This record gives sequence, structure tokens and C-alpha cells, in this order.
Amino acid sequence: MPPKIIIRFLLVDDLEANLLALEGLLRRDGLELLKARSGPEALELLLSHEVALAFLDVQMPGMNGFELAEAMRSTERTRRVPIIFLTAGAVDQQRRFRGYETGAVDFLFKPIELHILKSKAEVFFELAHQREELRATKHELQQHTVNLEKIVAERTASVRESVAELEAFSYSIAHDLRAPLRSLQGFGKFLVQEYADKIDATGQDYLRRLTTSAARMDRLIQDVLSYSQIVRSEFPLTTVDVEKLLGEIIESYPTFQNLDSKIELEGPIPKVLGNEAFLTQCLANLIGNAIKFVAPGVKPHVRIRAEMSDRHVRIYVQDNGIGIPPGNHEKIFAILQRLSKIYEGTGIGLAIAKKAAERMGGQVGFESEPDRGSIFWIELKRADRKTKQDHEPHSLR
Amino acid sequence: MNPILYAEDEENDVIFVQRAFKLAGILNPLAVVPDGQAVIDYLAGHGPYANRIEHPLPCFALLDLNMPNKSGLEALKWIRTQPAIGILPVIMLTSSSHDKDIHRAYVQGANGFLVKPGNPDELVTMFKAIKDYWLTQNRFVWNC
Repeated sequence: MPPKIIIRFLLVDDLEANLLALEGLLRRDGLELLKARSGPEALELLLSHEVALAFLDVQMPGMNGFELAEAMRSTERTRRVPIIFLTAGAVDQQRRFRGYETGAVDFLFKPIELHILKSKAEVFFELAHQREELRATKHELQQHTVNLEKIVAERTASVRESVAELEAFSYSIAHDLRAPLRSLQGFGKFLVQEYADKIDATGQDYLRRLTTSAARMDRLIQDVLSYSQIVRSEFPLTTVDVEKLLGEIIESYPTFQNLDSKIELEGPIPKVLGNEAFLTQCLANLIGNAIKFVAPGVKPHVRIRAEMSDRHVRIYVQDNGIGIPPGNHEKIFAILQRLSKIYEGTGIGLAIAKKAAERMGGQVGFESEPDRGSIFWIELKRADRKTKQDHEPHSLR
Repeated sequence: MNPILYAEDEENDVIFVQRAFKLAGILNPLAVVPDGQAVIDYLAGHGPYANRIEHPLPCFALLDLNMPNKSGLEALKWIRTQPAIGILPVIMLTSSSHDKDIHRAYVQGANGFLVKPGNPDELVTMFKAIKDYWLTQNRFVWNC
């Protein structure tokens, strides 16, 4: 809760009775009345207090009301304090003028009409009160801003820490988890290679299952690692010659070299803005799927081509595979989702393709019907339509 | 024939390396020590390694990075401060392929950085290459 606002008025009169009368008239909750019996006493009070209004008796021995007002106007601290002069003198133009000159805001003539004095005081009280409220709110807002900045800084630091921890974690997955797995694969292999004649058929089947499971787990770990790398790494977008890249991918992946499968690259394929490593993973995954998911006995036939729009290039990978049942269209890009256990896979390939495409500012999609094959596509920005934004490295997501 | 010193705390990896060593046709004995401190003791001829006839100085050392009781890097650091044994060729053999680790190893004076392949057959290929380069083509200060 904000602190209670206290407004102060200054009452200056050489007569105690007048001060008491004024005090009695003005007293209200939230208002503090500072009383002074002379000009110097008033100035002293003004040194240590901020006042919202001053009632000055004009006729006082020593320093009179006008002199006090002048003294107040000459000091920065009190220059803007509104003044109401209380004067017993008759309407005296000379005096009035003098009063305005010194910056008085108002005159009240004795005998004072109490309701007028009270309502004038009321106006100043309300004004001061609103001003104080505003100031308190402003202060509170500033406080909030400072707090918010502090919270943001703390959260940012903690996010950074989490990212660093995650990286350390990925690293330990790569090394600590994979090390025993590799031993498992290695010893399995030695048994198969060097002790096959001492193990019967059932034993060999167990051994085969053991090594395939280990290999599968190794692939899973590697795929999860590539996925997390795509999610968190920072990279610049550069011009990628997709046609050349596709040629290299098709040549270098052993599984794409199978004589039974046919991969047709139908150029030209325009250059895109992307990251070569991510795009390689994306395209290799799409082509790999296109070859893998065919019905038994069907020879894979993959066609790769591109279409160009005003700002984008869409690369299509069309297959003659088993297609995707309509109900599963949502699931297919989710991580660790596999639609079939018949085909070997980790269920991460398309998730990697989707995330990689998104991080390159593009998207992936597909059209498919069961038994009629699928057309997967990846859409990226055209390299010849660079904007300033495209050159900025992507930050952590 | 002088041995090749191999520091490795992981028993399975020792078995893989011993097998690859044999299949690659390397004739030098393989002296295996379990951590960085043991590398230092071996080279300094301390404790169980005091007898130089039984534990001759190696042609070169293969050091794993992460080991308890002084890492491979710490052992390397020590080696490079030694007047006589300071010139020993040291090759890091580790499962880490972190740029930072590679950089640090060279800064400390490693002569090579090999990443352990996951596949035991590839390990054999690696040791055949080690044999061709380090034990056939390369010349050492002392006889190997």
C-alpha cells in the first residue's frame, strides 16, 4: 500500500487567536497546518517543509506579509508556493497591486467570509493531493520499471545458464551415454566375427538382436543430438546452391546408391538462403524417407524438382511410396513419432527437417494419399531476393 | 623394441585398442597405464615403473583426455616441462571432438589429436595408419 499522502499549508499571523481560528476552520484529514507568528518564523518553517499553500496576514510587525511573500519568491524552493493574503485593510488599489506584483494568487479581506476561505483552501488541497498522488504513482512506476529490468536481467541470466547446462548435458549424452553403447556394439561384433562357430542359431539370433538394439539406440542418441543442435545453434543464412548440394547428397549417401532405387534430379533448382549443413540434413532426410517407405517389392522412384515464386523457392521430393493415411498428417512432423514399426527409423528425421526449415526462415509440408505416394516439400527464401533481415544471424530460440 | 605408452581409464577401450593394435600388425608392446599420474610415474621411472629394463621409455604416448587422478592434458603439461622426456611425441586419443579440447591439446604441445571411432573396425584402420606413419615413416630421437 502506498504511504498516506500528507498536504501542508502554512498559516502566518502575528495573532495567536487568528491562527487558532484558521486552524479550526481548515483542519481535515491528510492536512498538516504549519503555524508561524512572524515572517522569519515562516521562512524557517519553509526551509524544512514543502507547503502547498500559504495564508499570509499582511499586517504583521517587523516583516509584513508582502515582504514575506517577496522573500518567498526570491528562493527557488518556495518560488511557486501559492499565497492567499489576508488583509484587514479596506479595498486599497495600491496594496492590491503590490500584492499581485509579488505574485500573490488571491486576497481575502477581513472580516473573512469563512465559506470562501474554506472553499479556496479546498481547491488547493485537492490540487496538491492530486499532484502528490501523481508523483507517488510515477515513483511507483519507476520502481516497477527498475524491478522489471532486474527481473528480466535475472531471467536472461538464468536462461543463459540453462542453455549452457543443456549444452553440457548434450555433450555428456554424446560421450558418456554413447561410450558404453559402443563397447556393447564392439563386443557384440567380436562375438559374431570371432566366435560364430561356437554359438548356436538361437544364440546368434539373440546376438543379432542385441547388436541391432545397440545400433538403434546409438542412432536415436545421434538424432536427438542433431535435433537439439538445430534448435539451439546460431548460424548465418548464406546463399546455397541447392542443385549442387542435392547432387552431392545423392552421390555421397550410400543408401541412395542402391541400384534398385532411382533418384531423378529435375533442374534447374534456384539458389536459396539457408545453411548448408541444416539443408543437407533436411534434404537427406526427405530423400531417405522417399526411398525407405515403399511397399515390399516396389522399386523406389524419387523425383526432385523446384518451383519458384516471387520470394520463395519450393523444393519437391516426390516418391512412389506407401503414402500417409489422412488421420496422421498432424503427427508426422512431431519428434519421436513413427507411423509404422515395419520401417526402420528413429522418428526424428522429419522433426529435424521441420525445425531446420523453420530456423532457416522456411517451412516444410507434404501432400499424400495412401498407396499413391507422397510429395514432401521444403520452402525457403530465394537467394536473389535478399533483404537486410536475412543477413542477420539467427539468435537463440 | 620400445613400447607405446597408452593411458586410458576405461577398460573396454583398452581391450578395443589392444585388439586393434594386434590386428593392425603393430609389433611394439603396448604399455597401458590407467591415469595421468601413472603416465608421469612411468616416464619419471617412479614406484612400480622404476625398472627401465622392464619399463623402457616409449616411442610415443597415446593419452586419453578425461581420466581420474590427473587428466591426459595435465600429464602432457608435465611432460613438456621435462628436460629429457619433454620431446616425447604425444598423441591425444579421446572420444571428444570438441574444438576447445583440440585447441587446448595443441596449445599444451600435443603432436596429434585422434578421435576414437565408434566402430572397432575403424579403430583397426586408425591403428594401421598410426603404424604406417609413426612406426614406419617417422623417425624418433631414440630407437624404436
